Amino acid sequence: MSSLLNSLLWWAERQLPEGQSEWISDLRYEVGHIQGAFPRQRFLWSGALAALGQVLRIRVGVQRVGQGLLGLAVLSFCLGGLYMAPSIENSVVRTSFYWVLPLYAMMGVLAILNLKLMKRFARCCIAGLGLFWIISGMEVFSSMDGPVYFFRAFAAEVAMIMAGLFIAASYLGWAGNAEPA
Amino acid sequence: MTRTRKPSSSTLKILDCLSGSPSGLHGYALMKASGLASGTLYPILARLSERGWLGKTWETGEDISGPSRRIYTLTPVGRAQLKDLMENNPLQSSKARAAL
Repeated sequence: MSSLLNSLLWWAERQLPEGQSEWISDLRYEVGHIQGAFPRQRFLWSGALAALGQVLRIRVGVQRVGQGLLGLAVLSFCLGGLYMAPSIENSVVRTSFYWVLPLYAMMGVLAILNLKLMKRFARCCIAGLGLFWIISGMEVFSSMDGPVYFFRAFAAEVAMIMAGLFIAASYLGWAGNAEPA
Repeated sequence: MTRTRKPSSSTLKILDCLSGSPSGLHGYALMKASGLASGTLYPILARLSERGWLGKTWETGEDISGPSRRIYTLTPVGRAQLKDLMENNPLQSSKARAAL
């Protein structure tokens, strides 16, 4: 494991510009002086993670890394939903789930590919859900047999999640444009 | 526009440790003294060296086993900055001291 982490540090050192990689070589020189396997491993792990973080920040960019993580998080949420949905007994809840999962999946894909499009898509979804919420609150629907309250609550919840993703995308855009301190 | 961020408590801890050791400390000793992980410590050391707050020299001597390593010392600029920080951020400084 130590040699693997050492190789990772060595690789990271070569990925970074000279001025920003010096600390990695200093860290590598220090490793040889650490007594005990456990402290050495801890030292290497922490250093390797920090070096990897710096490589990603500099070579890939804060925004791209954030986009990737956000997209993967949303897509894994979708996969979880897809796995869970068949076990939902109530058919209305299950159908609603199946309806909304493609929207989340689209958000996840767009998060990875294009933040601007993702924000636009989120805005459309929030507007659509808001409209649905308002219309389904009309008196005509309250007398209907369908589970209107559930649909309204579900729409509100999805809109809130979309708003959260929209805020995350805005923050990533801001972080990407901000000059490094 | 450049942003000047307030130094973190980790930075203060490092400066504080080094202020107590005029001959300087190597990374692992500094890590043990400050309680910081290597992944936190080394990037901060690099940043402080770049600002001129820290000086770096290679360890010398005949009784050294293994590859030569860096010794970090506080420069006069760093010392002045630390004094300034301690005066201007007493709360943060006391937190850093308490953590040591």
